[in-house]
Amino acid sequence: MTISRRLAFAAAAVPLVIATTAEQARAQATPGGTLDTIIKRGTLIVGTSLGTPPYGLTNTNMEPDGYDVGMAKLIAKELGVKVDIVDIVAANRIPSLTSGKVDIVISSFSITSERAKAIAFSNCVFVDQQVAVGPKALALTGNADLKGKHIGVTRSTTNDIAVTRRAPEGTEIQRFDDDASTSQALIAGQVQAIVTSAALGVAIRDRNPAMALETKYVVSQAPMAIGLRRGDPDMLHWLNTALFMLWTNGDIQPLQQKWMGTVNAELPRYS
Amino acid sequence: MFQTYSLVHVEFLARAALWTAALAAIALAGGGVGGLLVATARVSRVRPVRATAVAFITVVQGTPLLVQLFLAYFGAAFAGFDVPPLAAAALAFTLYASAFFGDIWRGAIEGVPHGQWEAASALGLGRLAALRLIVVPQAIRPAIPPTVGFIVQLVKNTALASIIGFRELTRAGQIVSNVTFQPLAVFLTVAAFYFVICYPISLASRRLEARMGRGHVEPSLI
Repeated sequence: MTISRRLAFAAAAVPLVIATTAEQARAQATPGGTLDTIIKRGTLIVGTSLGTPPYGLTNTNMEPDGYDVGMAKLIAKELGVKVDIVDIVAANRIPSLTSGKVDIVISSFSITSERAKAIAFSNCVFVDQQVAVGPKALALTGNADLKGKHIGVTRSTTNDIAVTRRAPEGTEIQRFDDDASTSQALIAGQVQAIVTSAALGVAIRDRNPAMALETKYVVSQAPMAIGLRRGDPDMLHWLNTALFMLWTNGDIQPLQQKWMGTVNAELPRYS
Repeated sequence: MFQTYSLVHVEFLARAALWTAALAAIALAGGGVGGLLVATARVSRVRPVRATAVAFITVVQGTPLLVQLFLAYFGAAFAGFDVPPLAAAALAFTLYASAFFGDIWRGAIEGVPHGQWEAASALGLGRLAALRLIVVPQAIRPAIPPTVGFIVQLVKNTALASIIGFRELTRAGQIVSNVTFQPLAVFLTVAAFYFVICYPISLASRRLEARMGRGHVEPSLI
């Protein structure tokens, strides 16, 4: 085993270890509930990856921006507190919560039952589509066509999970560290197609007209939510209440239009 | 949605490069002091002291820096301490550099012929005085190349601090790359900034070595 593989294994193991000790952390991190802590502090601390457009990015003034940042500002405004955006890498979304480093995580956080064992999810904030994007000339109309093709995807995202689960045997899946590298691989011809979020797929297509790219087919739906610590009913209920009101009052829709270029017909709720 | 890679981004990267340099400087200062202690303990005649130093070096060298950073940041939070990213990174890098400097300098100290110790002893110098006045001055020159090699590595290893949310050069590069979607141009700039930090260190080391005399350098150490 090479050093770098050992490193990768060790790095992969740590979040698991941290996640399993989440129980202890909850007791320490939230005496009296996160909601009261935030109100008393007067600041909402939100973990967001700023390297994940269009969810989290930096604008031309190099300030945090994007759909998730806009959502964080809406939530903070509802709560009547200031917002503090903390840049976290996607792999640390769960440890950042369980260790109490942030109050909530809004960071292109797809709901999965597996993740929900370690943390809790609010109701939906956006339902993204995961699409396959490739050149017009490429014959690719469904998962079965993936066989024998080189497909690029960003590592450990729900795009990765979606295509890994559905791709037939013989698909060459190549994983990259961020969306910029994944799209670069498509443009450089290292992969024939990529699986990415619908909004990003459109942006990459428009950015590279010479490639004649198009959305080939929808791989799956990805409902996104706000992540919070488990066992924090007040915080969870308040977030869901706020999301319900923000959607009903039409505050979320323009944000979706601005960053995603589309508006969900309805945001699914658990109950 | 995409921005064109421009001077605004280069300035953003430059500011992050300062953080990279600052973190490396902290690690260097902390690791320098720590490394001296570790090296001294490592050549001690008192067995428990020596064993402690060996254990420290073994543990730090035997675990990935990435994991050490993770423990310093998230682990501390689980233990009830709220450590900001800079403090956690500074702590992890200081321990990391202490272990490596300690071992590098131990090697240099042991490379000084044993007769020097005996001569010092014959002059009535105690163990610590012999180390400080006789042995260490002779160990400095051979220690320079591996020390500088490690410092340059240290600068580049600060990239790992991005995992705990410390926005240094590499994380800044990721952020800019993901708004411009021009990773090639962005990471060439990032590489250039690393070079600007590392090259003067190598240059200074060569000067220092030349000044320290004899001019003989083991080819394997360069």
